[in-house]
Amino acid sequence: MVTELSTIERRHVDGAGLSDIRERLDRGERLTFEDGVRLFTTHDLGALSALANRERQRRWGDLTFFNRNVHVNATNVCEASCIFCSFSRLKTGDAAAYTMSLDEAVGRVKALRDELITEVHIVNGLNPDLPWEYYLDLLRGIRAERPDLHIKAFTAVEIHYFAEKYRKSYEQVLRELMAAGLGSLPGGGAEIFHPRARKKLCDDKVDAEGWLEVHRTAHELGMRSNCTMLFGSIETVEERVDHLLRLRALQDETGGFQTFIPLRFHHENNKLQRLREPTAYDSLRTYAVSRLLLDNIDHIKAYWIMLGVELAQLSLDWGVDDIDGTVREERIYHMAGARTPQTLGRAELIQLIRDAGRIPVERDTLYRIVAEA
Amino acid sequence: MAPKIRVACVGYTNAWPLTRHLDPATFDVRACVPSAAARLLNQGEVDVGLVPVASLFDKGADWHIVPGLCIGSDGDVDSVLLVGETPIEEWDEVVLDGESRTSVVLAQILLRGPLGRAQLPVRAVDAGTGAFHAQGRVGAVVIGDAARNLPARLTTRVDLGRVWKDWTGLPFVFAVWAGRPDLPAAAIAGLSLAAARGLPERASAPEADRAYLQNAIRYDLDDRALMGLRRFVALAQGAGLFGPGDLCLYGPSERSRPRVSVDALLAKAVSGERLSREDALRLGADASGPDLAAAADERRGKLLPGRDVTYLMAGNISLAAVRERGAQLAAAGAVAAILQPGVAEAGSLDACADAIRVLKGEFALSVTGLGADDLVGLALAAGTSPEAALEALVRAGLDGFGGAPVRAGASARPQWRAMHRLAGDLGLRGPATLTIGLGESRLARTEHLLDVREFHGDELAAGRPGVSAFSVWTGLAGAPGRDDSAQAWLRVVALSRLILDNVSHVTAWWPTVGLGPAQTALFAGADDLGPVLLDGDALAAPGRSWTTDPEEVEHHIRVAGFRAVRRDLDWTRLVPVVVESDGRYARF
Repeated sequence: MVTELSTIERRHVDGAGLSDIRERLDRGERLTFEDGVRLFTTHDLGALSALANRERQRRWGDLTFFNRNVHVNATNVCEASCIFCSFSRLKTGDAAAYTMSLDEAVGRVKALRDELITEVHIVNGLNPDLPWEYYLDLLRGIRAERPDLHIKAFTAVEIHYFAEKYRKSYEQVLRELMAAGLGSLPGGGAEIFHPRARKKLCDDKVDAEGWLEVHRTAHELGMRSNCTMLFGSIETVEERVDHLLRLRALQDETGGFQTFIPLRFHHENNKLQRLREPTAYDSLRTYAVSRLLLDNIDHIKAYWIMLGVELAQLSLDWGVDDIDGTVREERIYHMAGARTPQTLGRAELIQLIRDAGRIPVERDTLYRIVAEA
Repeated sequence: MAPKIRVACVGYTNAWPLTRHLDPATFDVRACVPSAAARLLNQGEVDVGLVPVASLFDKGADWHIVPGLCIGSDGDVDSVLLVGETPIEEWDEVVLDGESRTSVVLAQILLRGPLGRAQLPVRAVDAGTGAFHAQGRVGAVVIGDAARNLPARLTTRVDLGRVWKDWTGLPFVFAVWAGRPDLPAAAIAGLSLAAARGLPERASAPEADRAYLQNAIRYDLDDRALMGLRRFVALAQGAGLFGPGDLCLYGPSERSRPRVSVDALLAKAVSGERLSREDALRLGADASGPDLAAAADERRGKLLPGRDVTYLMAGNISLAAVRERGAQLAAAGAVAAILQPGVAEAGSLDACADAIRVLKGEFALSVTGLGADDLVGLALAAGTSPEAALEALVRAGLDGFGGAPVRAGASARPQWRAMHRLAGDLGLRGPATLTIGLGESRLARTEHLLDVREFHGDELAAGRPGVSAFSVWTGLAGAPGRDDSAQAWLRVVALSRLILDNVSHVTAWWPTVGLGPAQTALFAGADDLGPVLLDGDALAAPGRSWTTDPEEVEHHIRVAGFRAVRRDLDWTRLVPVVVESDGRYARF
């Protein structure tokens, strides 16, 4: 396992004017806000790969994680008006709106009775027409159907919405959901924390402090969670770095984040159609800078469904060590125009990782190894 | 001077024949106990160490074994014993001395196997305290020099090397030299040299150690010793005492080749010095993808200073609906049309010439394209020679030739050379290509690049124009085991920049890999994105669609920090694209 820079990589990094950052990484020192901005604006994708890949290799060598899960989006009805989202302001009764009955939602899991999946991933719209019991029954129903599956469900945005709508504290909401079967929180809804960008993107969504407080509470209750950043819409480089450092600060406090997932902005079927989507360059540098700044978060995950196979492969050289699993059903990105195939089989995913020169390892939600592929 | 190889050595008597002659000019030696040697290696504190076999299966260990050398036994080993005041059958516990995990695992396997005490509870104790704990009905594993200086009260002394030999008939291996996979060859040679000097000196060792070193310890990691080692690993893994993994010896495998001399080759390529055939094959086989990309990026920077990336306002055209497509291209601002591969099957020489006249005459487009196979096909169908056919097309106005995708090895074929030479005679040139992912080896890819370099050199020497650029295509998207991942493609793009020192331009051929990887190739030696008005499925990998929006291509160039420049077929007319700055947001 190679964890040192080669001669030419080092020259390349230093030639890009990053020798001081390299030396600090050599010594295992933490990078600063200014470092993050410089890395984002360096215009040297090779140097970023060299530095980020070294951190990846130090943590995981060539191991590349994936898991097998089923995604359930039980409802897309949503009160929020996020301008980047195709579900924005969908009301019950709208043509594109749907809300699954409990039988339907549990049926999604039941249908995969014979599949070797380890996780159910549930995220929903903020639906004003559902009772609190709906969510508890959803968890209970899935747990009864497949007690072996880990349920990772509800973004911090949903938890916040539940707390307001059903007049409970974050802790009460989380405790009740945990009792019904909730295993961990997904990382969605973070978008961009900085108030300027957040106001433009999702003014009526929980703010940064609320998002972080939900995760802090979850971590204190013993749950693990993930975290995300929506990149490539209207945020500045400084706002990206600010976002990453807010996550790093909470992680210093609680240690509860497992994985950071940069989410690439998709522009179809939403209010930002005039914006171009981030290019490969932007995706790869964002993975790399995330790996370098988030020194206290174990994993950086690429969501292959939004990148396509080739870029997902390349991302493994820019700091990514996890490729999101064999997704069974995914509506959010596909409504926003993602053109990648809906599912990759396990064998295809393993081949994808091997072809990229890495070692595939199947994990469960908590990164316990299911099988070395 | 190369940095010294940091090496962790065990201070045991049995190690000195391997370690005392380590050349201080090459090695920086650190003495420690066996388990510490593994830890130092794991932490990257040392490059190579004399480590217990057990540590090869530590989580995260990815070490290779130096061939030929070990510390082992073939019968009595004298220094790895189960000891006690009472016979083994009477023990109700055994303590395991943590100083050598291999011996501990061996003891556990032998207790479960030939010693018949599978249920005996075991307990770990501090390194070096085994003999102290062996009292009454408690037995102990003791190792190393402590095992050779036991108090008299310990009357039970079972030699584990002997038990293993009697049970399996094989030698046992306790420790090996292991190091990081990219350990320089010089280090491996240095370890072997030290052993060659040290082993004969056993004969002059102190009297007390001489028989032990000469007879009990076996330093050869030969085939029998490897068999014993493999048997032991299989048993330990089966018992859950070792993690998963295989034994890996330094050898001719790609990963374990020393990187030092590849660095020298990369530096040579960056400087612009010509790579020999051997150099090129070595880089093609051994250099890492990121290293090739970094070197190619540097080379491109030297060859083409500035940050211009070119592309061609051109699209493909078939012989069906020439006027319609010509008008479409002209309306989109095209400067050239590319006769797409396979035109020979679709139409006659006359139809081809007519199409060229229409495209030039009515739409003012330059016309290029065709491959050697197309030309031969057109000539055959027209009952004429390739020379006469090409002359007819040139009379009609053909401006360039080539660019059709070819398999590895095509550029070595006489027909390919003859047709391209013919085109050169008429003053035509065009890009050379390679399609990867059709089952060819890495060697064949590099050879193809060398063939193109040689052909181009010959052409230039003969006063002909040669090739204008080089591009790499991928053949069968998603076909498993074809080595045509995005990484594999980038690797060949970078190699082409380094090997084709006489070709100025490397085109990132995005239709088959996508614009994203092509954008990444701009950091791996490519300086051009080729034609951007392509249409239809004729040139794409199966199942892939692509944008034909020039603005999207310009955007990809610009946001990556380059200046987008429109070019013509020959890079003679270059027009930078001016766009409004949009520096406020991070999004690119």
